[in-house]
Amino acid sequence: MGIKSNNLGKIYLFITSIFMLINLYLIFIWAPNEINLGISQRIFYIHIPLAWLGMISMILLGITSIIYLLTNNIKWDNIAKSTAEIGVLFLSLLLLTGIIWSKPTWGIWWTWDSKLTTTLILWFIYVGYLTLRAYGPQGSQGARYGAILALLGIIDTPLIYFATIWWRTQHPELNIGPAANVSNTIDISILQVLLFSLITFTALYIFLLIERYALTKLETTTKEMINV
Amino acid sequence: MFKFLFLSILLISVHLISTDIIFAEDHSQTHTSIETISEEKSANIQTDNGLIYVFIAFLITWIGFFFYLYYLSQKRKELASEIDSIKQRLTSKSIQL
Repeated sequence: MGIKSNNLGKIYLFITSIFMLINLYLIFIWAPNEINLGISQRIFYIHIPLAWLGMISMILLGITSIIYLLTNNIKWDNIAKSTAEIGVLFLSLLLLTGIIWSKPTWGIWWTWDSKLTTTLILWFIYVGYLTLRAYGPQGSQGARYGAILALLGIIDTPLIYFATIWWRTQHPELNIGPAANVSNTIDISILQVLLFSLITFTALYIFLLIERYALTKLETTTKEMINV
Repeated sequence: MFKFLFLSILLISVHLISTDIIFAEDHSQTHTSIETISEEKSANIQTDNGLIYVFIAFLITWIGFFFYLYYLSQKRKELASEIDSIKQRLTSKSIQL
């Protein structure tokens, strides 16, 4: 990365940090207390964006893997690898925040509920992908194996989203999104804070993805240089 | 340094969960009945417990992001030094030739 793009990255990170501070203000000061769940409901404002971006990561990983299989262009594999790593980060944090939130609301840390289990499976697919890329065959063969594994993740992603509709689950029903139950509308101020949080976390996600992609590209070039 | 910081934060968090910390009570309402106070007390305990979970969830999320950023910066440094050593080897080879 050149000096110019490095400075742009810093400016972008600075703006994202300001957004994060505003987000914290909105979550803790501006947003109202939910009547049933109380203060612990505020975990919702980080839990949902983490879930959203964890699943977006998997879809991105799947799409870039398919493109790689079709074109054999290393650029798509580099994007796939970067997406997988950030996906693991977001999904790990999603599982952790979910575990923490379930204790005050359900009275237990974990249950083998369909939504939770399918999310854990997705986490294992991500970790499996990264393990395969790190310790499996290198080069184009490793990239192909990884791409095939990533396609499994694409199958799991809709299962997570529709789990509350297709199976009886302890997890709350969908409140937002195309498959949301119309009768389960949430308060407008809660929705506003959630949308702001989604935008902020997406901005952070984009920053991390750009940084990771630049590094992956550099790693690939360095490996090629060493091999030459 | 980072490991020490992380471990101490983790230990504090575990301690907070294991010992049901109750935050300072509000003593301004001295004229309210005993029943109301006990109701408020139990409500406060519930809210404060919830607050601990919120605190831990946010803390873990932010530690996760900071650690990942730190990991990326370390990786960038490693790569930069590796590229430098490759460059040095290449220049020394070209001088020999």
